[in-house]
Amino acid sequence: MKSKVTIHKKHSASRARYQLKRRRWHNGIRRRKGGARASRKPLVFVEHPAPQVFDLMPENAEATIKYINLVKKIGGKRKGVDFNLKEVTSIGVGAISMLLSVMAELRGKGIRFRGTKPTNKNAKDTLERSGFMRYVSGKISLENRKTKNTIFTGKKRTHHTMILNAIHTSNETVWGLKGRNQLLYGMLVEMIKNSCKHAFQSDKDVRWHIAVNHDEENNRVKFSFVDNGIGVIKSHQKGDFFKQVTKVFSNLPDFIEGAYTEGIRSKTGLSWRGTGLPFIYESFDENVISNFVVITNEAYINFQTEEKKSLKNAFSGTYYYFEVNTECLKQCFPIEYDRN
Amino acid sequence: MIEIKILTDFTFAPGARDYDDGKDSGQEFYETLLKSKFDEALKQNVQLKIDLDGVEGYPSSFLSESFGLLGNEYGAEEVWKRLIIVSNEVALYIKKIKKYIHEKR
Repeated sequence: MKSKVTIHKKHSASRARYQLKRRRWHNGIRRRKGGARASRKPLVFVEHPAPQVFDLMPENAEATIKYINLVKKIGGKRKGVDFNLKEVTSIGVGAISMLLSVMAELRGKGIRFRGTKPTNKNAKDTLERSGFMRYVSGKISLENRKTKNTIFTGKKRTHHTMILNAIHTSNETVWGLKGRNQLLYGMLVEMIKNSCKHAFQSDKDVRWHIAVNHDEENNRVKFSFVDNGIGVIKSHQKGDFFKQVTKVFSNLPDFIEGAYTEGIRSKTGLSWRGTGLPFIYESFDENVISNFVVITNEAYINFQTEEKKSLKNAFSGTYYYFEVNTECLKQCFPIEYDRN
Repeated sequence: MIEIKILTDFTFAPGARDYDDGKDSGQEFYETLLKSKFDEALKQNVQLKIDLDGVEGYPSSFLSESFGLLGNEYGAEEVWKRLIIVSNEVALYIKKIKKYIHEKR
């Protein structure tokens, strides 16, 4: 008579073989007939050097967005991307978060990445301190490990309270007290929800990224928000409303400016319904934030300097940059509730 | 007087416009608390005091949806005369709420 233990061992062995077969199938390792192992084709990595100045200041935005678009194109051809940042001498946190948004989209399609950090020490330190390395499993030098800077990513169902720590610590840097900033909170929630509602064709594709960079020496905090959706212009290109409205504006940057400042209503008499763009602009108008920049599709607008231009290299998503500093409206209230 | 303190009666972190935007939206606030308290204030012919202080903040779409629905349902003038809004931290919210109550939907 076979013992129960023997039967149990046989069952375990066949189950283990089944699980191993499943794992190999998932990893793309299949056996040809006759038992020889066949692996899927190795991923080809395409290297492309980033521009020396990798930021989104008006004079550098074109080159940076051109690089970002090239990364998307490489990934779109099912090739791995090799970021060569070796010659970069200056990096902006906005450019880092824009790059991360594209990487998140490509990673969802199975594209892999590798890269070389800048040789320039300042650029390398900025990259390491930004929070970016966490997303690429990269090493961080000892002196750059302690930082308040962070980049976080959300999806459609991410709870809006995820941003609270970023707001509280930004108040600590600017005003010396970890506390609530009601108007900043309101604006960030509007940005997130606007992205979730309008920027993507499907809820499952929603990805937004917020980068927070602390300049403690100058009591200043830099924020950037990016989504890699379809952008403000493309999300409103349906129907007659867009055609009527764009006739009134001489170019797309003017139209985008009008979308945020409610200039569309005043110039056309038509109500710009359905998006939270004026709610986002309000915070700049009320001096809650400063140095507010928007890049979306072909439009670049700096509301602070009133600079507007059409980009030759369009960015398919929406990018916001802004700062909170001691020139802004002081909004710093103690945290009075207990979340526990 | 009927009172609502949003921090203790609803949430410490108000959300955005409607249920599709997630938890603690303006629509949820209106449907689960604001409307019923306003009805109560109407029935008793008293004022409704709403304390906005202590929370993390209010997205404009939260205020627009909740108070916009209230103004649309009961009439802007009736709503505005019956409400007492307390906002010692951000006085600007009172001006915004008045605008949303009076906005046609």
